[in-house]
Amino acid sequence: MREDANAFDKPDGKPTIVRFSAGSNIRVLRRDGFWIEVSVAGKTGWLKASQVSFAASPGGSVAIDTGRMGGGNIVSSSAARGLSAKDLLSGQPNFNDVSRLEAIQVAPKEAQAFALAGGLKPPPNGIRLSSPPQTALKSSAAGGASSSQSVSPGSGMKKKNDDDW
Amino acid sequence: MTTGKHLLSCCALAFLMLCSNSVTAQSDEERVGRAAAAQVLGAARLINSESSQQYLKLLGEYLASKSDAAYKWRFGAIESDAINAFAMPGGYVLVSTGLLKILENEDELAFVLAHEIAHVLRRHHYQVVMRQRLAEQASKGLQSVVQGDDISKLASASGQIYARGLDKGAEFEADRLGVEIMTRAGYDPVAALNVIERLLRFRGNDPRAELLFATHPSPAERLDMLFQSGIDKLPRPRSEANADRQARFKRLIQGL
Repeated sequence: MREDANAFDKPDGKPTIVRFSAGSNIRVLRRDGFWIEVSVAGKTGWLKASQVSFAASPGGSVAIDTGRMGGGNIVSSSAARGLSAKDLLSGQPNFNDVSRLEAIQVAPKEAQAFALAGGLKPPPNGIRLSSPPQTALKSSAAGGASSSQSVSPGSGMKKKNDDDW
Repeated sequence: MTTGKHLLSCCALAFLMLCSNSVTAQSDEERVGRAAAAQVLGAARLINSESSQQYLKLLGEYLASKSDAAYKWRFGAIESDAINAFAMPGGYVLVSTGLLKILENEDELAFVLAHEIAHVLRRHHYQVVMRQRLAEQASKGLQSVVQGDDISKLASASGQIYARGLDKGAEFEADRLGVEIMTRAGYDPVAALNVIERLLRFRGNDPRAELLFATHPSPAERLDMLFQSGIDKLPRPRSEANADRQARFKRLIQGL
C-alpha cells in the first residue's frame, strides 16, 4: 500500500478506526458497485475500489472473489470454434454474411421505443471520464503487492487530457 | 473584378475538394470496414436467429444514438464459443455467442457494444489501415495506393490487424468511451466492471479467451484504468432492474 487509508464500515458508509497502512498487502474479499471489501492481517473493512491498484500484483492480475464468479451460464469447452488468430488470417472473406448483416434494418424511432420499453432513463448531460496520465499504468504496476490476491492503493484521481467528444 | 472571380473560383474549388475528400474518406472507411467484416465472418458466421440479430441492432442503434457520429451501424452475433467482439471501420460490430453467453444482463451487453462503438468512433482500426497504406506507399514510391488496394487485399490485411490487436491505449480509450456511452444511455456503469472482472476467470490457457487476452490489456489493468478515469464518480440508475429489459435479454441468450 502506498497511501494510508481508513476503512469504511460499509459501501457509502462511515469511516472506521481500522486503518490500512501504505505498503501492506490487502486481500479483496468482494466488490459491491464501486466499493471493495478487503482483509489486511485479519482486519477487514471497505475501501473505494479507486483506492487500490488491481494490476499491482507481481502475477499481473488479481482474483476478485465476488461470489458471482462460480455461477452464471458459462458452458465449458475444450476448444474454441473459429476466431483464433489462425482463423482470422486464413479464413476466406464471407461477403454473403456481410450482406445479411446489412439487411437488418431498424428505424430510429424503434431504437427509442426499445429504450423506453426497457425503462432506460438517460442521466443529465455531463457524463465524462478523464484520461489518466500515461504514467498511471506503469506507476500502478510498480506497487508492492506480493500475492495474486493482493492489491495496492492507487495514486488517486488525476484529471488530464480529457477525451475530446 | 477579375481577381474577385478568380478568388471565388478558388474558393469553390477548395470547397468541392473538401466535399469530395469527405465523401471519399467516408466511403473508403465503409469499404475497409466491409472487407474487414467479411474476413471476420469468414472465420465465424452470423447466427441464424433473426430475433437475436434484431435485438442487437436495436440496442446498438440506441447506444450509437448517444454519440454524434453518423455511421451506418451494423450489429450482429457470430457463431463461436470464443469470447470476443470486433469493431470494423464504418460502423460494423460483431459479438461472439461465446461472449454473449457469459453476460448476465442487458447492461453488461450495453458495455460490450459501446466498447466496440467507441473503437469505430475513434477510428482505431481504420488508422492502422491508413498507416499500413502510407508505409506501403513510401516503400513503393507510388503516387497513391490509398484507393487502389483491392477488396481481397483489404480483407487479408484486416485479418492481420484483428489477429494482432490494437495497442493498449486504444483499448483503454474504448473502455472509457464505452462506459460514457452506456451511462449516457441510462445503463449502470458498474456493469462494465462486472464484465471485465468476469474475464478474470478465463485466465490461463482457456482457448475461448486466448485471442482476447493476446489482443487486450489484462482485466486488472482495465479495471485500474477505469477507476483512475473516475468511473466511480458516474451516476448509477436509481431504479431496480427493469423486468422487460431482463426478459428480452434472456430471450436473446435462449435464442443463441
